Amino acid sequence: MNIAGLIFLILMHFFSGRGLLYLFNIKTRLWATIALSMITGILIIALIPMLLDLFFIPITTENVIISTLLVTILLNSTQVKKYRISTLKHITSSIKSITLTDALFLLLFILLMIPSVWRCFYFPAYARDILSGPEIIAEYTLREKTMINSVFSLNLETTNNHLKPPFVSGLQIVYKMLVHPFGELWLSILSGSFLIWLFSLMREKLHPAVAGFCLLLFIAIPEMYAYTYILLFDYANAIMFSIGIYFFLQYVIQQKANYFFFSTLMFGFATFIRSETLVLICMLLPMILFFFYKEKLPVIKRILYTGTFVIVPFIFYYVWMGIFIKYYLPIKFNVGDQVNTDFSHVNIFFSRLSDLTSSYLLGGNSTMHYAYFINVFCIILLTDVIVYRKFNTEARILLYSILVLYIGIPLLGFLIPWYDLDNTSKRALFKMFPLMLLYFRNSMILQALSRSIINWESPQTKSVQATIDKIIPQMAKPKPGIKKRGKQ
Amino acid sequence: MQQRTLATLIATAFLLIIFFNLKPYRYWLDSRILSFTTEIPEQIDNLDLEYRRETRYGNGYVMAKEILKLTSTLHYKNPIILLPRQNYVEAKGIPQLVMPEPIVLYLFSRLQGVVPGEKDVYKANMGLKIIKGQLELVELHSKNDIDNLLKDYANPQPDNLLKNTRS
Repeated sequence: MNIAGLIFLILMHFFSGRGLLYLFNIKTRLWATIALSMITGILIIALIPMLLDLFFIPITTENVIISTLLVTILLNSTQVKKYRISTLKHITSSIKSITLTDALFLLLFILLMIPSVWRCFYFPAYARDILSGPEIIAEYTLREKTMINSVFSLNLETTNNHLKPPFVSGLQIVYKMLVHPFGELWLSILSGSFLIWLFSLMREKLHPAVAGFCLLLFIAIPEMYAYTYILLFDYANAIMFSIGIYFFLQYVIQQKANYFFFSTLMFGFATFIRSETLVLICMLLPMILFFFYKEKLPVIKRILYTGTFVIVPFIFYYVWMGIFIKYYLPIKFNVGDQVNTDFSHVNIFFSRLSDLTSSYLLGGNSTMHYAYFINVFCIILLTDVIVYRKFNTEARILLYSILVLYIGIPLLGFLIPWYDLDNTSKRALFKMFPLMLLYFRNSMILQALSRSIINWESPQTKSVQATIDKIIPQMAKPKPGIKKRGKQ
Repeated sequence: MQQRTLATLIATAFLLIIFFNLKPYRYWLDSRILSFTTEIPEQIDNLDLEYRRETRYGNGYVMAKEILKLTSTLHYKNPIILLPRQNYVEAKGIPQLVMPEPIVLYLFSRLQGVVPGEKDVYKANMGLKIIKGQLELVELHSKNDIDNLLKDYANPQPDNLLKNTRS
């Protein structure tokens, strides 16, 4: 393994991602920022091999290194003055603020993720969808210096995996070139960063023990955990989709356009991983239009924002499907042939919805695949409905998004014949779980539980609110000057 | 206050023990996490890339390498190999032998392959057969040769002499 190559790529991920976050003026807590920088940095580097091919530049080690450096410099060129040495002090203070319970869970999470990282390193990618698509394209790109390589001279009637967007193949090319012959280690960086981001978000609103248990429930979803080391598209797709939703709700709460545009970019990246995500993004439109209406946004802005929301993911879709496949690859492919245009048999949609619910969500093999995660979500949701009967803006947006996925996944099964139940739909459900987890941090019952634990831990403290503020940052009163929109 | 924080910590640890004793989480912990501790010593001793590929890809990978070895003896410039479907191998009594699909064969061995039913089947210039338990490559010179081999694939005769799976 080339350690220097790995360090180089980690630095490039961080700085390119951080540059992008600065560009969009995204402000989050320290660890969330670091994690988010890594995630977006991985996506930026994933684009490089395709971009090189689009400009007819050979995909050689030198060209990949130079273009990675160029992209990183470009993203940071106007933002470099925003870097502060004082940030390093925040790292020390944030480490000092880790409680004992935090430390217990962090240690546990590290122990749980070690086997995943090792398996990523030790074994080559082996899922059939990867071997017959991104993996073979990546292997032959290394030999032939282009993604438009001899793989496309084969008879490819038995697969369509070579047509999937080049997110996985792009990263496999870069990592095979610079780090390890099996590539794949980027998956550990991606999933690790995502978990750090999630934990940081959970801790904003919940007591360490409650946040820790919620994240543990998420990590221990057997099917999802497996895909932290089995290379496929769905885990990464779920990450980008949930980040997109999170920043959309930040836009609604904070009323800052930069969050909205960053959200659309994240949805674009989600589409770059799985093209059909575009359908789910379009299904989010009613919610977005509703918020625009509620906020009495000027009509021009409404049109501009709605257009951006759809066009950005569509650009990601079109660059691959409309330009690269159509004009660069030596094969003929018509998206229309892959879509079901017979809308008379709507019963297919309802039977898929029913099968998905009975087999994977509320019965069948649900426990085997997802353990008790869905059950816990249902119990918490029901408790909030029955006992508290109120949801904050964030919770409402998350519940709507979960509903979109619940209807959207069977709809995709209806629209796309190869979108089967036991593989594609089952893994598409991954997108739901981070949203359910984010709902947990807004759950009234879990917030009440958090407050009770804190009150119990510090009964003699004169200012309980001060302790709550210290342990759960987002329960602190809003600072003057910061306009908050939804009920928090 | 510190005592209560410590009590929360102990209670959390106790709840974690209960959590990992719930059936699905116990199973997950045993099969995906704790199994790692038994796998790791052997894996550390075997860091060779080829070993790791064979372990992960299994018989399909071994098979592709065998086919590559066989083709190298025939000195064809651009071999295109007609591969039987898995049911042929099973009918020959060797279910443990896994036929790689053509695209995966190309990944593992850089060899082009075709399977019965594909439109390029008549481009094949070599074919894979199992004769008396031995994997053999036969040269295909004409459409007739290919048709004969396809007939053999379609009606495989059980081979009772099978002992060894590879030539």
